[in-house]
Amino acid sequence: MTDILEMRPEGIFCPAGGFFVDPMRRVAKAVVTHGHADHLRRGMGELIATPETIAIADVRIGRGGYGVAAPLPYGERRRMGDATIWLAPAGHCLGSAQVVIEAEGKRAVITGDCKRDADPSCTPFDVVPCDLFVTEATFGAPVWRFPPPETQIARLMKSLRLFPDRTHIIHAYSLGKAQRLIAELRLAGWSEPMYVHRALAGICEVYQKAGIKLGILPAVEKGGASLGGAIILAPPNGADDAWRERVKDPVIVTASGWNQGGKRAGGAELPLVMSDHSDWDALTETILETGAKEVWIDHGPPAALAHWCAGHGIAARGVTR
Amino acid sequence: MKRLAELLGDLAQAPHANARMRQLSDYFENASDDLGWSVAWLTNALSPPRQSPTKLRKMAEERVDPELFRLSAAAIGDIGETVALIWPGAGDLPVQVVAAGDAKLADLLDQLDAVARVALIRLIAGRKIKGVKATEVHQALAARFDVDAGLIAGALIQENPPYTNLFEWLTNEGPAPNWVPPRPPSLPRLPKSPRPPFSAWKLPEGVSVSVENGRAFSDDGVELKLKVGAPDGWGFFHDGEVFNVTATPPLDDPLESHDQGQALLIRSGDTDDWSIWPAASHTIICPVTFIEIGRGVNVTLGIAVSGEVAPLIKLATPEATKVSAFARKAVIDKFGPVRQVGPGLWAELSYEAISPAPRRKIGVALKGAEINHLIWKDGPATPDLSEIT
Repeated sequence: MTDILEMRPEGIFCPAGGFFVDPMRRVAKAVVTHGHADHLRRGMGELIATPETIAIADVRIGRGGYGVAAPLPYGERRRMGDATIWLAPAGHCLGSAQVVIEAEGKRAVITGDCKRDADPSCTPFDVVPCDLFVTEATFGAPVWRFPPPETQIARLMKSLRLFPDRTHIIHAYSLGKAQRLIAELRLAGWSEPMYVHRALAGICEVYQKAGIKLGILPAVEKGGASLGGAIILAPPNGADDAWRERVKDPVIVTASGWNQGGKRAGGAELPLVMSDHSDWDALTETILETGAKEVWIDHGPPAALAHWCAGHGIAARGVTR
Repeated sequence: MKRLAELLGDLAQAPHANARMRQLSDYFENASDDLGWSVAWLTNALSPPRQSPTKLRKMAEERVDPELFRLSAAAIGDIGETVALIWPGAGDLPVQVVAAGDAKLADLLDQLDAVARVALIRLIAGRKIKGVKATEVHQALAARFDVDAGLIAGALIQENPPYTNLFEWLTNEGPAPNWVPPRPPSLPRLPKSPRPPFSAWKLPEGVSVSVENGRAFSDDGVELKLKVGAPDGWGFFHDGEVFNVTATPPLDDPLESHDQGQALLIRSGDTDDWSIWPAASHTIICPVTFIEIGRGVNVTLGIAVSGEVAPLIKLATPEATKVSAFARKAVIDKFGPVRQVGPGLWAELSYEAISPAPRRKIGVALKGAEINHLIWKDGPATPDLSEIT
């Protein structure tokens, strides 16, 4: 089976097709699953990805960040060397894809990052039966099982109702989580403008152009009236937040799988348990649904998932670099 | 239980008392839980048998693969939390089922979701609820049922979870309990002065006073500014001096019903309002006109000034339970925590001294006043001079 894929220092390599998937070093041909920085790096000669991911790459690393773009919409097959590849939705963020590689009568699927939960801001995950399944394992332990996302949005709506006078600052990753929360809030009936930190603005525009309705998103800037009662979305690192002087006594909201259990909530007043990654149940269920006989575990601690696979007669090994 | 568990998490993260109070109020307003057990949980009044981490781990290993448990515990770093998060199952149970401590722990964990399992395991491990004060819980509950927070605090001390009598009373299904709110120990009071401040005014005898059209004159025809009298007789100011009146005052008013020298004649500012005070006995019976239910129960006593009832003094009251029940029954109007009440409750008040207070409507202030006892009876709200002892 290792003839379909092999691990190289640059990342996962497909010898039959002559390309890497999510390489961490500069290579000639890179298939990129989605736009997060641990999957998308600068300096690739040819960037093969969904049109949405390429639009995101243009915002995050710029047109000069790669040589040429080769957009590959979901489901469209492309011959590369002796292999055929196509992309299937991964449900992680806009444009996120699983890479399906078919060669010598075998099929391998690389999920990149993925989730099974409903998400109004991206295409839902498709299960692709395969022989070799390369899964992520960010939350690869059975303690990580997340509540349904609607319960967490309900907590956020309740906080907005209980504290209508306080500004809600939602710290969320600028690609994926922020837009998902905006879309969920719109669905839940929040029709007011939501202020966004400028680090989010470009990505939000990509989403809006892709037809994800996020509503009116004014940029939050220093100076001006108090923002009491508004919603502000900002990245978690706290950089470039001179606008904070406009906010008194905010409700700090975070949304992460790591909030599970409540101990790791940090200073957040409202730590929502919400992840763009699969939880343990989704990871194990997906492995069973693919019917794969061999599993590689990337992006996360492999031990628990490998142990579980062994118990289910599936050969598994960690390939985290 | 799910809702209580979420509340516990929210309270732990709330940055200030205001946020905690809103969370608590929302819970008490909307939760379908048994509030008695919830209050016990919130105020650390539950004491289930402790379970050691080893025992918890062994319980969990009967449900999940021990190797997966070991790897998970290494990731989480806390056995109790690992057990709570790794335990299979989901659902919800009423708080009373979880808190009463009758069910087996494993059965409870099977039927709860992760948030509730974390809360339960913390309870079992003997962890105190942090971030919320018991007084905040009392206040939020008192606001929910419109009673005195001190009463709640007193009731919680004197009853065991789930505080059945308290909640039956709060939900108007049971009789008023006879609890005394715990009060902070007060500083020892100085003994009452045997001689009130004004008694030093010993004045020439033989001075008499006459009142015409509300004005007072000495026997030589000079108008007297009567403001404050000596407790052991009639007194008045005149040109900066204080005069005692020993003769029967020729005042045409209901003073007849009192012993001479037992009252003070007080003029309110420069108006023509005259008030008559029983001076020597240092007690007075007044109707309760307003009741404030907040941190303790306070009553405002009224006094008649030219036919109207004016506030005399606001004091903490004995029999707070009964008084707050009366407040809810006899309410006429409501001003935030203060209720104006109709007739039915009187108080006998004692005081150490009277001093002039021209800026007050009644013209005087009482020093060292306290309520001797309450008088429950039907009657007019307007004080009747015959009621003054």
